[in-house]
Amino acid sequence: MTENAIETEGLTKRYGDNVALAPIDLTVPNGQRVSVIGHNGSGKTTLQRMLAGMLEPSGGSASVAGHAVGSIAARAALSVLSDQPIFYDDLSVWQHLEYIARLHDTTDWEDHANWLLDSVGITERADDLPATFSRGLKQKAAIAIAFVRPFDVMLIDEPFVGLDRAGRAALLDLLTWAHDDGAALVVATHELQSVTSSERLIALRDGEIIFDGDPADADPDSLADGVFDRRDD
Amino acid sequence: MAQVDNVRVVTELRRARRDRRLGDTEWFDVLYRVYLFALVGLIAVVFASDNVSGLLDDDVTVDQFLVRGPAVAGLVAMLALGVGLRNGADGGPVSVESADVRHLLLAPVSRQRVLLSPIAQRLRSVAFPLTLGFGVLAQLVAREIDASRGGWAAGGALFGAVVASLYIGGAVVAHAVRLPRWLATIASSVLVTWQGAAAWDAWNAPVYRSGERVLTFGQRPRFPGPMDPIGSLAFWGERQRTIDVAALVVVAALVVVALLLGGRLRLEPLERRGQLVSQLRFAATVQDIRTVVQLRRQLRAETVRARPWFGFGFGRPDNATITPTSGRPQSGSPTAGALAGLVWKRGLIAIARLSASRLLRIAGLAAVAGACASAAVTSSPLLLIPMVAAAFLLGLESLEPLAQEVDRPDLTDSIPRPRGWVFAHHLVAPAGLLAAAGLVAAASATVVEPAHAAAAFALAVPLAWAGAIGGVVAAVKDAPDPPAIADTTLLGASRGTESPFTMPEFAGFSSVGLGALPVILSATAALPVLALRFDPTLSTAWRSLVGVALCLAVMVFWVVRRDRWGASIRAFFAAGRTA
Repeated sequence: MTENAIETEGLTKRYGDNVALAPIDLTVPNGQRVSVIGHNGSGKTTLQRMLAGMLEPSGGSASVAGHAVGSIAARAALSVLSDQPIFYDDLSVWQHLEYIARLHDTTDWEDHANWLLDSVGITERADDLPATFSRGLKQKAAIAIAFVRPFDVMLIDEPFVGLDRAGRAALLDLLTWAHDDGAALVVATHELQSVTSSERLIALRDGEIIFDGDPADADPDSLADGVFDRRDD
Repeated sequence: MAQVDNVRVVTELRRARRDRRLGDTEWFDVLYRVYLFALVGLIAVVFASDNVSGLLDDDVTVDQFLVRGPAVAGLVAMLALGVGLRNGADGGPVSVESADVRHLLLAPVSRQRVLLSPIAQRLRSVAFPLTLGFGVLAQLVAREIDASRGGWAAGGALFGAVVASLYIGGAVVAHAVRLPRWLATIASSVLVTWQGAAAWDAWNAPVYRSGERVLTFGQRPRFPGPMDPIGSLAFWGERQRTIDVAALVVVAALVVVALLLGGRLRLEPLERRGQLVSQLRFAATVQDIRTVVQLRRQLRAETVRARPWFGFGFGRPDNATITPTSGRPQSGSPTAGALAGLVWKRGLIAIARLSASRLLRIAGLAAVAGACASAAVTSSPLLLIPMVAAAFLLGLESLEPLAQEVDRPDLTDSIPRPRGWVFAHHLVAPAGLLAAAGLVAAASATVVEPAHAAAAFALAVPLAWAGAIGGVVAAVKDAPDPPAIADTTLLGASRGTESPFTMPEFAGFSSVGLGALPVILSATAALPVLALRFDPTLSTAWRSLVGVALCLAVMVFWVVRRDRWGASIRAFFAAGRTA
């Protein structure tokens, strides 16, 4: 296994004349917990979608766990938790968990799935169709699905949207659990607690990295607003 | 290897879901639909067979067909390939469930294996109507020239399947190799122009001279087209050439390459198309033609121009200064004239932002409508069907300002004028665009039959407007009712209390009738053409214009008064109930 969970070299995304993401060189070592912040349209989701292989870069290259983005090996190593959960209309939460777990050859997935459902508090809804859930419940089901399979790297985009207090706490616990277990996490979020729990903070503005360092160097008030300002002292 | 097991998991899941779907299927309902489709199709074919007389000149011969036909049919095949290349560059032609993109295509499973089935499915869905359609058309032609109808139908069906394969194969390969849109446009244009030139050359090739046949198929090619051999397949009912088999092999190879490259399709368009297609199916189910057209535009990744073709001073001035305002904006008293001017201007902005491809499509539809109208006067009245279809679609394509307004009722209600008034004024800008399209139609009609020039230019613009009647009705009837009457039916009963039970036969017919109503209304445009079939004089053209003008006036009156009439009818029935 390589030492880096994510590597990008001149990764760029342009839409015509608009630059959504300026050329970015980024290295995330294995097991590192990274928070990505920035105002709306700063390029957070674009970066995540390109790393997931959902969006083709206009230039540059990226790899996940040492494999080219989109390759089978990269897909095996990468789990994605999107801000917009999408489910099959005709599969229950449990059937989704089984399908995803088996696609990734997960061993003992049933015990793990039960634990995840309990963690996010939807055990009672396991046999219901998630496509009919409320926004918050959908997000909880998506969290369980993202964590049910093996992964070395997880990309997480605005995961706290729509979650109640218990859901937020459960997700923070799961992130900590995965991080302690050696996974690299890249979380695009405005959630202050998640940012301060990170080892590294990356701030984007207009598609460019304006800060890459210790979250402690950032002004907490600005972080609470989801943007970056350097701490005064 | 793990991948093999994963593919087995995918197969298992797909089978389980399919079994569940089949278990939930109402088979009686499916059989009834198949029966209805077959019955209506059969009636249409018999009707067309009886009315096809005149579609071809009486003196047309099989020799002429064999000399001219392959290049012309090849043009159809080349258009399919060209459209496929464009479609592939825009992210088509395959769509899969969004959940499949998110869960399956991001899993460590061979994408080529996963996407094999959706690509094959898409090929089947395109091939079926084309095979059927070209088979029926070839059968009609065979009837005209007293040839073997079975043989011609088989040749036509084969050609239809090949056209479908070219479209899907070209699109998948273009998508997989990331063919840039501009390159796809250039390649398509060059190829279509080349084949078009070959078709023109073949069309004008002398077949007989002094009664002697001077040209036979295979001897002609002064200007051969690349798709001539494929076009030749359509005529296998009359004669078969070994060389045409090579064309079949090339097309089959294209399909195989497409299937092999399927794993390289981009996820972003697959996800976007998956969401759009599910909306499209729903819109088609509820017979919402306008939404279907709108979603198809989105499927083609067609967007409005970021920079309009021409400006109207609505942009932010370059030298604008920022000064704090002291309070909330104060309301003036805009006159009706000023508001009308604003609505017209807003309409013109919508037109100015139409994409080049949409403008080309508008011109193309106008050309088809004009050509069919001109040909319908002198040959088969069946040509009125594509004419009305083109005129209806032309209307839908041109009514962008109205469609934008109808889709945003909250914004419409914020304008201090009745909704009908706003809608009616949104017809002004499209009327201008349709007038330009009418001139294209007139030119096209003139090319088909120069003797029709005067009538064509006299009638084209009003007929383009008449063709849009259906589009206007389809758009305006989609607008939500005003809050005061939204909760009651037209008969004044509460929507919640009215019995939903309707006799199935009546519900079926009324549903089909309501769905087809816009197209039927657009058929107004065909009436003057029909009149000219019986009396092809300019005076008939002028007289028929009066009828068209009356229809247009009624349409505008309905748009303006629709809400008021709805309220009056409800009040009438409510008064009856009280009494």
